[in-house]
Amino acid sequence: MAHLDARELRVRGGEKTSLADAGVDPLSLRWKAFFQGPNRDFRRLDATSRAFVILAEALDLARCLDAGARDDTALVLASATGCLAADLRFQASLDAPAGPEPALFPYTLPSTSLGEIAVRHGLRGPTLCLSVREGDESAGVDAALDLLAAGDAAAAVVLLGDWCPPGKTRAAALLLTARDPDTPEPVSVRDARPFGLDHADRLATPCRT
Amino acid sequence: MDGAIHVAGRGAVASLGGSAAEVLDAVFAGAVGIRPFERLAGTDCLTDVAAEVRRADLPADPDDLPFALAVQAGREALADRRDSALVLASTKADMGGILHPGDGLGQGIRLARRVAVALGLTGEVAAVSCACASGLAALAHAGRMLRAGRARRVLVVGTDGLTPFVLRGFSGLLALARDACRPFDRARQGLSLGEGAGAILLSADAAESLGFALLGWGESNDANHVTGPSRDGAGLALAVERALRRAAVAAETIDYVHLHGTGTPYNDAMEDKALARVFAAPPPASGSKGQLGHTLGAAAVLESLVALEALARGTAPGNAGLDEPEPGGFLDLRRDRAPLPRARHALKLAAGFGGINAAVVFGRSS
Repeated sequence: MAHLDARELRVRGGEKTSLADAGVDPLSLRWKAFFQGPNRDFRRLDATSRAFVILAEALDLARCLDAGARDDTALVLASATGCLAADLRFQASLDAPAGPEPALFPYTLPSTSLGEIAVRHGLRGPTLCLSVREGDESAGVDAALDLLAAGDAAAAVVLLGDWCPPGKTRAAALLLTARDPDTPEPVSVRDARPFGLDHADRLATPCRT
Repeated sequence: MDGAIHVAGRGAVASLGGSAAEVLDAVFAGAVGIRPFERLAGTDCLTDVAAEVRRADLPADPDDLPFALAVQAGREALADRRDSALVLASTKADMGGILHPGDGLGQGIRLARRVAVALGLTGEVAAVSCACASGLAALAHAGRMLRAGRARRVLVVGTDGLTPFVLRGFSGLLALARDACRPFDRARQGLSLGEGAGAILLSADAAESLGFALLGWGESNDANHVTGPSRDGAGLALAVERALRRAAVAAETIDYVHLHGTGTPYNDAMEDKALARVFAAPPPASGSKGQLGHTLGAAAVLESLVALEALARGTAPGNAGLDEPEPGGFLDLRRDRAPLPRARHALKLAAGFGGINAAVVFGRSS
């Protein structure tokens, strides 16, 4: 599991990265501030969408999922604001002297960040993007568990939360896998608090971070 | 309860009419709802045609179009039933606050909750936004809810209204046809946008069935490119294979395919390749975007109604705008409607930005 808020990126079983120490602007979220290796282009993803891409990277999926498993891994996102920042920016560009910014338009869909994650990590399972009320991120976990219980995926990367101005920022990512791919055991997490992981042991997550 | 997921209600409002019967009669008669702009006249974009809802069918407040259309279609599908969950599919939902003063801010769940209150629904409410595959993603989500026993009925509503935001967005990508779109035609230039709402009530109760059932669904991601479809069709083929597997039906028993068929050069070519991967011989197939336009979040639900009606009538609607198919394609498409040799199962396809693919299989309730 990985958790990103206005102060730090925390990865369970891994390192913490303080945003302040890394010189990260929470509204821009530069790739190189978090990860080694070649700089990855965020293209036109807004800050919320970038947070989800960073969190997916922090899960270290290559360690948890082999190529076959990634073909059967779903992506589930539950967010209240979605890509609102991109929406507002595109709307503003309609009235700009240069006209609309065409390359931005596909990023005015909240599911585009999931497409970016799918491409980067080779995830070919179902893609489900939910709009939820602020604070109701557990709906994303429920949806992922439904997917696993139905046998529609063997694993699910679940991305939860929002990235608003500092003070209202929090986002998390979970990797859920079915205990037994042939007979997935459904687990109810209606009262789970994913950011606190109080009920993490009730989730079928042999590979959580 | 027999474990099956039955189609228990339907509703629609689109450029071709204000009810499911009116829209479907028009589709099967070959009518085209893509017309010169009325409400959107003066929008600066590559085209001046779209499939707008007719003035007579418009709600009082066109700015609240997605809400009003969803309620109208949902009310028709429910037929006074209230004990139902709701899954709403929309790409932009309520744009108030983005386009003009208001607080909608494109939040699907806000729109969904308003629709649920207006319809008097008592169950769980969810909002799905998976680009142009939203409608099928919503049907799959609803199917899982029913299979998990979390609901006895689920109303699936797809809705989207046209705005300059969307028109100019697609125009900027050079994705719009100047005139009415021509899916799968060798001279196709792009898509035509539309608006509307489609509603399907799913029920676990066989006594409520209209004669058809949602047999299975399948979803995948191309994992290839964020905005363009995978050129080889492998991702969509994977979604189809998953749907067939869940439905426990063989490809050769699919008697009709309702295509995504946007009219863009790459999408149509990809879809043709995808079906060539799955089927040994081209099945009867057609699409409705040449008549209804691309209604975005409403598309897959509205078009699923066409697929169901094809089974009911034993007829495949024609492909509006098709004069000369792309040479060398796998599909054998006809401009005019044609009787189906058999009408056991129908397959509905959808694909969207983000590499999202989805397919569902409908069949007769046993």
